[in-house]
Amino acid sequence: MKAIGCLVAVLLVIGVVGLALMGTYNNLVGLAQAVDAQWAQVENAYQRRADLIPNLVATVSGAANFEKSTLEAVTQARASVGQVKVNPGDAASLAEFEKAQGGLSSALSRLLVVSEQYPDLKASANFRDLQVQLEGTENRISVERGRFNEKAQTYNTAILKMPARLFAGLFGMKEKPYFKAVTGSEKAPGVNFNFGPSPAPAPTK
Amino acid sequence: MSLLARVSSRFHPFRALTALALALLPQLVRAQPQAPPPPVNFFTDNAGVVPLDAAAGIEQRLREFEKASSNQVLVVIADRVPEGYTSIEEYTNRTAEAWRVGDKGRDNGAVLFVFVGDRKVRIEVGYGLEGALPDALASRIINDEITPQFREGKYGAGVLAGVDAIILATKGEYKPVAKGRVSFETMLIVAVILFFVFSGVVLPILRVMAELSGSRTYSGRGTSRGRRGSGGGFSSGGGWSGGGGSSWGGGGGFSGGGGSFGGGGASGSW
Repeated sequence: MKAIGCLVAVLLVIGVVGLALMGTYNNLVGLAQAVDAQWAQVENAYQRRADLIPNLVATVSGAANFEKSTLEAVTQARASVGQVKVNPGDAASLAEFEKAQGGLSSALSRLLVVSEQYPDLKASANFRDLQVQLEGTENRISVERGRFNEKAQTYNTAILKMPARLFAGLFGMKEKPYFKAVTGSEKAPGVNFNFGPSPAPAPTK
Repeated sequence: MSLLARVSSRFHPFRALTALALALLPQLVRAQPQAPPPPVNFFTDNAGVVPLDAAAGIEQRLREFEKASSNQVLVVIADRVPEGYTSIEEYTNRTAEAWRVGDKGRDNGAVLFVFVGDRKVRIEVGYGLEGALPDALASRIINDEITPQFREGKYGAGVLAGVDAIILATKGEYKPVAKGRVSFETMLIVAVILFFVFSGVVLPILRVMAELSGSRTYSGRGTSRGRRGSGGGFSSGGGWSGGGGSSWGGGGGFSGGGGSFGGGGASGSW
């Protein structure tokens, strides 16, 4: 009788612990899914920017003898972004993705800087709309990146906390890497180059 | 005063530093100031630049627009972008998201932010209105409708023109859902179910009870009385729906519905 009582007690304890672990595990799965869903939003925002580029290139190259090298840099950066296969769970892969996207960011901001020198281009409604759309897309990218980092942080904290910490590795749950904060390298250089057709000097700049 | 002195005497620089470091630890990824509490009205002028009657007109328009379209459009006028944000866009996106402007799932909210001291304006557009109010259109509303008036100091006229343009752009995007009011279809279904339940369950029971208690003629009268009673119940249901409608009409002010923002919209300055 005593043996049976012990067995029942042990089974009960195992059952309770098992249920608690299952709850923790399910919670982790939910958090990991949230990170993945947010990653899709990040990719969406980047894709939106990539989709704007053919239109932008077409509009800009329509302007009288627009600087060729700037346009080519954008086209090239756009192409290399398309080649990166990214796995958001892997730090090296995410860094490579960021590098390619950062290259496109700087090529684009360079193009916007150069376009300041073409008054006809700047005056066209089409180009102005494209510029607004580009700004909006960059803003969306930074919003979605920020949210990705928040979701990844929630998940990372959860798998490092105590009960989960013991078994998260067993189920292949690794820490997710973060996006790095945007550094100065991605911002446009604040220099004006004097090439191309000499435009009228800008009134206030 | 004595309380203050006691607190400052207990103040320990090293302990305070440790506490600060501990408090900051979870925010290493993204240290953010708290978003301001949500406004109670659709139109909020914290800078005091819009005359009261114009403000009331804008508030009225925005409330009616929410009722007619379910889209929530807010106007917030402040002096400056608060400290601690890297850009106006970061502040407006965080704030609109924290206020949950728009319905959950539809994300049909938009907020017009004006910072008088910074001379900056931004239209923040929820996910669900990005199609009706794309960035280029938001930019045109700012540059063609709002900032020309602001430059002349006409804040009320500028905001009103901007609000009208936003309303015009987002008008057909969503249909309102009847919140709190029971629709006619639901009433009809409930009435039909009640009728069947009544005639299928209650009437037989009444009949059986009548048969058990005595004569047949009496049972027939009971049936007709029962039917008449059910008709009366139905008409009183109509009166109840009227009461729901009036409480819906009286409801005012802004309360966030759970909408989300992805950084759509445009900024401008004057």
